[in-house]
Order: sequence, then structure tokens, then C-alpha cells
Amino acid sequence: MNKVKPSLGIREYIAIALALSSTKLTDDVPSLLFKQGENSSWMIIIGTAIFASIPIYLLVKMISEHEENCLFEVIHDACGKVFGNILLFICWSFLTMQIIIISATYVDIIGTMYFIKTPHLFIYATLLGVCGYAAMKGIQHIGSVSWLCFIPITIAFLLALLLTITKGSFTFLFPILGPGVKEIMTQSMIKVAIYIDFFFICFLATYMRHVKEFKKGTWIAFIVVVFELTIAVLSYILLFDYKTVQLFNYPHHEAIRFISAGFLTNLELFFFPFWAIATFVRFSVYIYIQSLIFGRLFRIENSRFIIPAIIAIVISIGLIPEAPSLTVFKIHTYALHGSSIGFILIPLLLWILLHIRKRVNSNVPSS
Amino acid sequence: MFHLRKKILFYLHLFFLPIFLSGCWDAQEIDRLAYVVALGIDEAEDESNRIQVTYVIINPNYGPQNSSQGNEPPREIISIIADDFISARESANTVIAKEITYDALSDIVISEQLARSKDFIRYIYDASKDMEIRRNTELIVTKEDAYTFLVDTKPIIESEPHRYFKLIREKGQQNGNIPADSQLLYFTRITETGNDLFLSTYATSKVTKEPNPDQYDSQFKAGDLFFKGEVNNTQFAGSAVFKNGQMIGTMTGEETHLTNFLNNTLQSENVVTSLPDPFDSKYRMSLRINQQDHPKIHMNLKEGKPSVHVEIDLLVDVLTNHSMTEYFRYPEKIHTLENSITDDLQEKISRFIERTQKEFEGNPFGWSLIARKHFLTNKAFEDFDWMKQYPDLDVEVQVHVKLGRFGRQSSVPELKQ
Repeated sequence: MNKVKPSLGIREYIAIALALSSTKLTDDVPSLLFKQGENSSWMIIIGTAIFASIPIYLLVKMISEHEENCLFEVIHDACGKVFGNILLFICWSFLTMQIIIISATYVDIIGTMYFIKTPHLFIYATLLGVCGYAAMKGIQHIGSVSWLCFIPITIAFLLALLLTITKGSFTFLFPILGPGVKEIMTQSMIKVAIYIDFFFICFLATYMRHVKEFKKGTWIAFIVVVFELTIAVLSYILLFDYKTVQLFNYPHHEAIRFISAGFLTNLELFFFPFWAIATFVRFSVYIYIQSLIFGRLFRIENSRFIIPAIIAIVISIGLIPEAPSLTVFKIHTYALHGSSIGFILIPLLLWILLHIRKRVNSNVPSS
Repeated sequence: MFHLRKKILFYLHLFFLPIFLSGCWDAQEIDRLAYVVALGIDEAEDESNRIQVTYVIINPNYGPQNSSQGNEPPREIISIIADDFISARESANTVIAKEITYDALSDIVISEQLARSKDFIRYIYDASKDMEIRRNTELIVTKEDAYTFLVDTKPIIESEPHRYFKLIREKGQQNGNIPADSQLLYFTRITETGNDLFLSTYATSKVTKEPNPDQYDSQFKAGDLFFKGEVNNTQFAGSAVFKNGQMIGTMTGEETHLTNFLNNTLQSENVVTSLPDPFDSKYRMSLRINQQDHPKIHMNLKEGKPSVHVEIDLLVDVLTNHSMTEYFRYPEKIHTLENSITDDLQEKISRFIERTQKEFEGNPFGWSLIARKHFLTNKAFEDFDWMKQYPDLDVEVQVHVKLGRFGRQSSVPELKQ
């Protein structure tokens, strides 16, 4: 089927990476931080970024040093066939879990904030149907779409942030240390999975035209995401104060319902379509990577044909939780803490194993 | 083989087609909606745990262009007893034909009686549940029942209720007679932190029967001002003071603009007030005060008794001169005037702060935000307990007055006795 290897440029790659990570500022990830981080949540974003840069650095290094620039090959080289497959399966289940939880969150956002009377099943089916279709088209199409939408989406996000900050007051950031240094440090450690998308996106490295672009693109995207998330979390504190924002499910959607630009009110209707497109891009990439790993794991040549099945499974599991805005939020907290461990440990493990193998291999010919 | 596949696809796609038959659940036709612009909430008279919800629904046909429509009223009012104002919508639909929506809701009117009750906070938090109610909806507290207030508010010239409320609110906020931040968001934000007092707009449609001789410009709250004429009796002046989500008192228009002077996020402009004339105590002079800069507030919360030092820079324009003082020829009189204004304002502000400390036991100036800067962690600040400390604070106010314009003609003729 895929005779010609699809290729991604640095622009498309950065656009995809940003669509994956920066849409987090609009869902319940900020509220996850506010629960413990209070008015210092923005520091947690920076703190997690420092911790997250270690696994990202290792991943980028391993992939760019490998001759095929492919994370699958790296995993197989490091762990061997059986354990490599087990590790891949673990990655796949993490990603599936994430898709289920986050899609349930997004359906809840749309269902409670915008389309109140529409049944959840219908929103779910539409959302994942569109994303699945995009994912079936392949990574090249997703790349072009995300780059095409990248600039308008970014402008809309930045406009929302700007309007929020101008309405806010910087005094809400004090007391500057919020819940205390210790709490900030622990939260930075256990919430490191905020950046776990940079792990999943490494599976796309093999589709990059040049490995240098992959390297550069990852770091540019990472820095922009950290910046964006920090400003976003900051802006919610500035507008609402931490006690109020702790009670919100989705601060971004509360913020865009509050702000207005001069005579223009009800701005959420302007921001909603951009947000929806960013969401579509995000889930298309998730589903694509998920089918990619699945295909590799079970040696399915045309992994895109399993996408409809994946979607059906995601929808049927995602609709299970009762009172989604409460349950899914709780599950998301645990999932985030759990995947933090994997995010730190897996790259570290790979790196150590690769190192040992290299040593053993280099010792063999010399002896 | 190919034929079979096509057939299967055809039947498969038939299964998907009915999805589109379901249509849009959330579709709303604008001509099928009844827009509530103001919502009144009272305590129900019959039972204790229910509320009386009043809707002011605008008539979209009303307007200067549609004079051919006849004498349609600009609004419709319906009041029902309900458990809350979310479900009241459905009950009201037994009377109102169109679907009632809060999309255009701009004001929530609460009776003073309900606002002073402990249960008020339970009812108002429903607003954060419903998606149609925005956090920038204005809160208005009325002296009488919200229902009476809404029915009596019949402006003759600006008869569309949403426009009337918007205009009178904007004007009141401009001259500082009503609080600047009376929106729902500020109510929840201040209540949840529990460190400051929230001020809501105070209004009434009842006019006092006789004038009060001791009352000077803006030293009144809604309902205290005597006026007559062929006008709508609704007045917006002063503020209702909320502590921990419960109303505890009222402030006059003058106190409300003094609050703006002391709040370091606000900067008042064009506040007109009057003070006794230093050269002839019989008369008062009118002043227009512009705040030059945000107030400088220094706090000492660590050592000894906690204290606050406030510096306010004001630019004062003298609008009247009833004592007919000649300032042009005697520059020392300007100095006397300046000192007199400074002393009067300083005393006024100090007296007001004392009132907030003694009567309200809390501050409506948002000073807790400045106090927060003096602490490193939230826990340390919570242990300090700002609300409890405030009544015992040593507050020192220093007003710096700079005289500005003396009107178009600065000199007046010398009066012969």
C-alpha cells in the first residue's frame, strides 16, 4: 500500500505537536493543577517542563542516533523482540487510555458548555468519526491540515489569552509561593505527564524528511507549549483568583464566556470553531499513532483499516462513566499520575538498555 | 464480487443515513425565544424555602421604527413561585408561549430581604450551574421586593428595560455613586476567598416623601433622595454590602465613591461632591475630584500592631464659589482652601474607614490582595486571618490635594456688604 513513505516537514511537525499539547490549556488539565497548585500552578507547569525535558532529551537523542530514526526500532533494539512488544503494548494501552479519557472530557465540554440538549453518543460519534476519517487519510494529510489551521487557531488562542489577561489582576498571584515549595515540587514531579504527548509524537519521527528537523521541531514545539501553558494557567488565575478557579471544571470555557472585546460580546461563539478544529487535529493524530502502534504490534500491514474498530471501542468505553464531569475528572487525575511514571521511566529504561547493549556489542569484536 | 461489495456498501450507508434525520437538538429559532433581560428574586411569602422569580421579558417588536405596530408595551413581566430560578423557566412556560431563555440576561435583581437572609447564597449559586447565565451579569439589590421594583420601573423615554438598566448603571458607575464591580463573578470571587466585602448596586423605585435638610450631594442611598416631577421613580445610588455572601448593610453614594478612592485597582474620575466653604461656613462649594494615580498603600503586618498607610493623590477642580472669595489677588487664600479641602477629605475618609472597621468588620477596598503580597504561602496568609485582623488595623490616611481648574471665569466680583 504505502509504497512512497509519507513525509512530514518541520512546519507540519511543529503544528501537530502544538495541536496535541497546547489544546490541553482548554480542557480540564488546568483544573487538575489548580486543585493542589492553587495560585502557583503556573510554576508547576515550568517545574514539570524541567522534569519532562529529561525523557524528551533521551528520546530525541536515541532516535536521532539510530540509523532508521524510528522509535519502534529503538525499542526493539533495546529490549529485544518479546520485551519490546510488551513495552509497545504498554505504550499502546497508555495511549488508548488517554484517548478514552480525553475524548470523554471533550465530549463533556461540548455537552455541558455548548450543545446542552444533544445526546453524548451523538457528539462522541461525530467527534471521533471526523477524527477517524482524518486519521485514515494518513499522516501526510493530518500534517497539512494541522499546518493549514495552525495560524488561525494560534491567533484565536492568543487573542483569548490577551483579553483574559487584560481583564485580570496580577495581585492574585500572591502569596507568591502558594501552597509552599514542597507541594510545588511534588506536583511538578507527579504531573510530568502533561507533556506525555511528546513521547507519543516520537513515533512519527520516522516520517520526517530529515532527522535534524525532528530534533529541532521537537524542541521548538516543547518551548512554545511550555510558554503557552504557563501563560494560559496564569491568565485563569489573573481573571478568577485561585479559590474560584478551583471550583471550575473547564476554566478556558468559563474565561471566554466572561471576556468581551469592546462592543463584541458572547465571544465564545467566535472561539468555539477554532477550538473544535484544534480538537479534531488532536484526536486524529492520537488515533493515527494508536493504529500505527497496534499495526506494528500485531503485524497488520494496513493498520488504517482497524481505525473504525478502535473508534467503536473508544466510544463504547468512553460513554460508560456516570456523571462524566465528576468521574472522568477523577480518573484523569489518576491516569495523569500513573502515566507520569511511564513517561519518566520508559525513555530512561530504553536509554540504559541501549547503553548496555552497545557496551556488550563493542566488547564482542575486540575480545 | 465487485457487485456484491457495492451492494453491501449501499445497505451499510443506509444505516448511517438516519443519523442525519435526528436533526439538531440544540437548534433554537430566535423568533421562538422569549428573552429575559432582568431576573428578580424574592423570598416567597407563603413558604419559607421557596423563592419568587420575576421575569422581565422584552418585546422584540417594540421600537421607534415599528410605530405602526400600535401601542405594544416594551416588556412583559411574569412572577412565579419556584424552588429555584433554573426550573422556574419551565413553569413560566405555562403562561409564556415562547421558550424562555437567559441568553440576554443582564441584571439579577434581589430584594434586600432575601439578600439579608442566610439562604441567599444557596439560591444565587444556581447561576454558576446554568450555562446561559454569564458571570458578568450585574447584581442589583432593591430596598423593596424585586417584583415591585421591576413592575414600577417604567421609564418614559428610555422605555426598553435592558437599555435603561445599562445606561443608568453606566452613568452611576462613572460618577461613582454605585460600585464599579457589581458583577456575579466578583460576588463569587470575593465570597469564596472570604477576605473582603462585596458591594452590589443598590436601587429602589420608592421616593422619600420629604426632603432631608442635612443631606448633601451624594450623601444618600437609593430611596433617600427627594425629587418630584413626571419621571420614573427608579433610583440607583449607593451600595449593598455583602460579607461572606450575606448582605450586612448599605453604603451611601458618597461612601461608594470613597471606596473607589481607596481601591488600588480602580481610579475614579469626575466625582462631584461638595464640602463646606472655608471662608464662609454658611455655604458649600462643589468640587470635581479626579484621582491622579492609584492610591499608594503600605502595610506593615509583620512587626508589632498591624498598620496600613494610605496615600491618595487627588486633583480637585473648584466648580462653585458661593462665598465670593477672591483667590486671584490673594494667593494665600488658595493655600487655605487647599488645606481645608485636604483636612475635610481626610476626615471624611478616616471616618468612613472607621465605619467599615466597626460596623462591617471588613473592608470593601480589596485590600486583602495587597496584604497577600506580604506573605509567602497561602497557609501563612490564612493563618494571619485578614478578615479578623482588619477591625484592629491602624489605618492612616494621607490625602494630597492639588487644585486644578477654577472654572471658565476664575475671578468673581467683590461683594459690598
